[in-house]
Amino acid sequence: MNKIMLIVLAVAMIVILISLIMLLNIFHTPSAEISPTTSKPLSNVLLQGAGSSLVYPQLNEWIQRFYTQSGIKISYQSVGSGAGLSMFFQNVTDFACSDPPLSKDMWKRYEGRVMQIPWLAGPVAIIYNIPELPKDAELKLDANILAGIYNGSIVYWDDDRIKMLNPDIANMLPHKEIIPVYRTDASGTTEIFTTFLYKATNGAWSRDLVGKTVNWPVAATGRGIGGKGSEGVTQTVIQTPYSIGYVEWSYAILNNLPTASIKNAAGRFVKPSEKSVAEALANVNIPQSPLDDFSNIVFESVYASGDNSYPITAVTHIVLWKKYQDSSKALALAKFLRWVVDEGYNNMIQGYVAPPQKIKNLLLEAANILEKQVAS
Amino acid sequence: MYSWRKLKDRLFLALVLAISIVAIAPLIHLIIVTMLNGFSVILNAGLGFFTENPPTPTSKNVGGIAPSLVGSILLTALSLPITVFIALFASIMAVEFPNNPLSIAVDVVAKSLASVPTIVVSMVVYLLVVVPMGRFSILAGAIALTIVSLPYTYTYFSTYLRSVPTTYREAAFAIGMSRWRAVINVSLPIIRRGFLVTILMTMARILGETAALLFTVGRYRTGVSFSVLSPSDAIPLLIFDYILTPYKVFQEVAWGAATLLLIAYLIIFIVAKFVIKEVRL
Amino acid sequence: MISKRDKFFILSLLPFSISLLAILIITVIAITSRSIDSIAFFGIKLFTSNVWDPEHEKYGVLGPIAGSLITSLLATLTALALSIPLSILIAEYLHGAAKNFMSSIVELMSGLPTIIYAMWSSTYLSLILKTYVMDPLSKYLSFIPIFSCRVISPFTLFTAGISMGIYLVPYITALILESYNSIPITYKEACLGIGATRYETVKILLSLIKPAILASVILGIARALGETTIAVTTVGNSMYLSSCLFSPGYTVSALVASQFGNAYLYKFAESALYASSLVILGVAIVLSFTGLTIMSNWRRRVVV
Repeated sequence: MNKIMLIVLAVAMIVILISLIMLLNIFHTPSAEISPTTSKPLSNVLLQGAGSSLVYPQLNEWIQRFYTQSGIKISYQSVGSGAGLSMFFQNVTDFACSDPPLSKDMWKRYEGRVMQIPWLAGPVAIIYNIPELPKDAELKLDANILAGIYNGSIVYWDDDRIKMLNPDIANMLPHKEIIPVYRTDASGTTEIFTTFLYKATNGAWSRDLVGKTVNWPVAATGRGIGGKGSEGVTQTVIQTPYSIGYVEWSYAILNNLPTASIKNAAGRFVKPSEKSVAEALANVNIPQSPLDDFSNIVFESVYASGDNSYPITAVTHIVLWKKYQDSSKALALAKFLRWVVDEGYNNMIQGYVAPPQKIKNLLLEAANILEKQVAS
Repeated sequence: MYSWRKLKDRLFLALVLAISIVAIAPLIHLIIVTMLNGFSVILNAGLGFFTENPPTPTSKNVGGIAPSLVGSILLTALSLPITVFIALFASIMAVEFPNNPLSIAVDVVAKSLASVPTIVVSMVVYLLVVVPMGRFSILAGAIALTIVSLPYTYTYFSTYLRSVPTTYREAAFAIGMSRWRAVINVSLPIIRRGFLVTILMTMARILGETAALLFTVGRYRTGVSFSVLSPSDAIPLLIFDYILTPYKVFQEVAWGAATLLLIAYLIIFIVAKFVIKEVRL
Repeated sequence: MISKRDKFFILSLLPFSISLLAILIITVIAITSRSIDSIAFFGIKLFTSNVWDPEHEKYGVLGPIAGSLITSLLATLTALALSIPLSILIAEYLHGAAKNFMSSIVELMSGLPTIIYAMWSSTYLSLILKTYVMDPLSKYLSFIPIFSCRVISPFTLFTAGISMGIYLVPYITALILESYNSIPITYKEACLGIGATRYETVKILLSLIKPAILASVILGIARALGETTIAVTTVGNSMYLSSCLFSPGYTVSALVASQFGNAYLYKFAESALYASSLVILGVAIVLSFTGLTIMSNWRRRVVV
């Protein structure tokens, strides 16, 4: 009896496994079968996106406005640039938002199929929590000091190098250990911040320590704390006295946190502002087509020339396919891109800067490419 | 000598009492602060808390949690029947044919499944359902929730079924009932209360599970979605995401949502208590 | 022995039992097959070094694995310290309505959604622990290595351990109560009969359920290993490896929660995550079997 049972068991098991695999394949196929002639009403379309937490507050605002005007739903998961690109390339989402553009290798792999547009700009602010300092005090920092803080060689807030830059508040700086806060998830903000450290210190901050995730030297001393997402870093800085962190400016504004002035390429100390970001952007070379390689743009846009340029300025990208199997998605995305140019940029929330005209043109061109695909 | 023993006895009681209070203090504190934080939010938001979308980080209004609320309800509605169905029949098998190799295997597997970290379930479902389907969905979330709650539901059912006295079942066989009939006509009616409580506690578990949803259900919060194949949200996931943000308005929403979840759980628990005296988890 | 009708009955039940089996098998296969890449490439170094550097494809998950074990052990010990007195109170001192009420409270705790524990732990408990426990301990007992570091953040291995411990209290209490109540009443009567006080009786009865307590500890660790929500909100999420409990750390589940999303971008990151969860999965399964075996052996011996 037991033998029969075992045979039945084995057979049934195989049947179930096969049917499970078939089930998965069934899920896999339908999206490819949709013919371009079926024109669904766009209001039934749901666009899924994921990625950068930098754009989240602004994008959320846009999504709600766009929905009331067009009926097209957009879902956006603020999971970080790395996770956003992961999901996009696994075809789980329709678009991704990433602070840094695709790396050269990545772009080569998808060349001609993927589009990117640096559609929003914003500064990365250095926030700090020093209870002794009055709210209106100006803390001045430069790349070398930030590098020292994050590699662990500058330990106390009253370090001579910090005092030298800040004669006005030198005697207010406490003899307390600095607690650097960094991102633990793969983050474009980290890439921008570390690229700035690398570019502005002439390599004193090593090339190996540049990227979306960094093996922070300060973590090995036990003084550093990791935070997940810009949310996590901001929260940690608020809760931890004598800490310092890097987040997008909007997070600093929304939480009313003091931001440091940073020394730019012209030798001036500049705070993040719409003006200082716009000036930095004006000095950056931007590729001609959304299908081009953007991988140099991070290095270009930090520590840019210009007297009043904010040195840790970053652009953040929307990443799209050139072709979508579901044509209604392509049309909806095109519509969204046009809407952003026409209306979105007139509804900026504080902390974000609308890009110059040359970038608006890129968005319109991307919309054209998407629509052309459907028409053909 | 005698009095020293008495004193020791007294001291012991005092110690036991003190530590027991420490042990349940977190529960009481937790319920009070959650309710305090959450109620004012819900009252401020009014009925909109159940019908509106969550706020943007910059907005002044709390908005609502409608997408997550609907998502949670759909997830539960989809996952609960499947879980109960599979667990019930698997446990009947294990109890009625305890010496069958398959039954033994199922019993062992249920115990192993219970020790699979729920986040691992989420990774596997992402790999096997979300990626092939090409999107996050309520279906993927419900599959993950089912896997997570199956071992628990199975354990309840088999415990209750085993508690049916053998004499009843033997009596059923004696009058010529098949095993199938005996289960339907004798065992199930005897454990009907346990059956109900199992369903309720499974529901509580599904409603409160977070980690299994991290990579499966998506985080669609800009509108209410009724389609099983499209992404949605769940209340625990919303709380998990929002409590870690620095935005005050998000934290308020999180507390409101937590209060709602807590009340839902308390209601389920009290109903279960009415049905049966002892609830074992 | 099995009649024709019953055979049909078994066949109709088969799919349900098999689906339960299939779930576990598919889970294990999926995780193992994904782990192989990184284990083959990095070998044992994956588990003996501590680095998470996807940009340079360097991975070592010693820290998170150690963190998982440390926090689980701490959690179980915390839960045990609270659960034994709570069980004694319920089993020995309370009667009637009070007893019902107290056991209801324990049952209520055990089903409470973990996200609510997580929320409460990260906003309230962590600050209380920092001010009243971690700061004083590190100040006055810093000569003990596990208390030696300065507390820079409320989110540490210690906080995670205690938070998960509170979450485990009802689970461990239920296990202990069940064993305690399964001791034949004759033992207790014998103790009281020779004039022993309550304290002495409890001492004797507790010594009888020692194996069951050991089993509860093992089962508690197994359960804490898989806990994600509480861990990720309280452990501090840092790849720092230290012998001090007051430093931020990682658990495997917290590592997965914060890294799995972006892992696809890198060649080995996903595989390394699967490998580390495979370790935790293996440990958890072995522990829960050991625990359940000890428990059922003990029960067979005592409850005749």
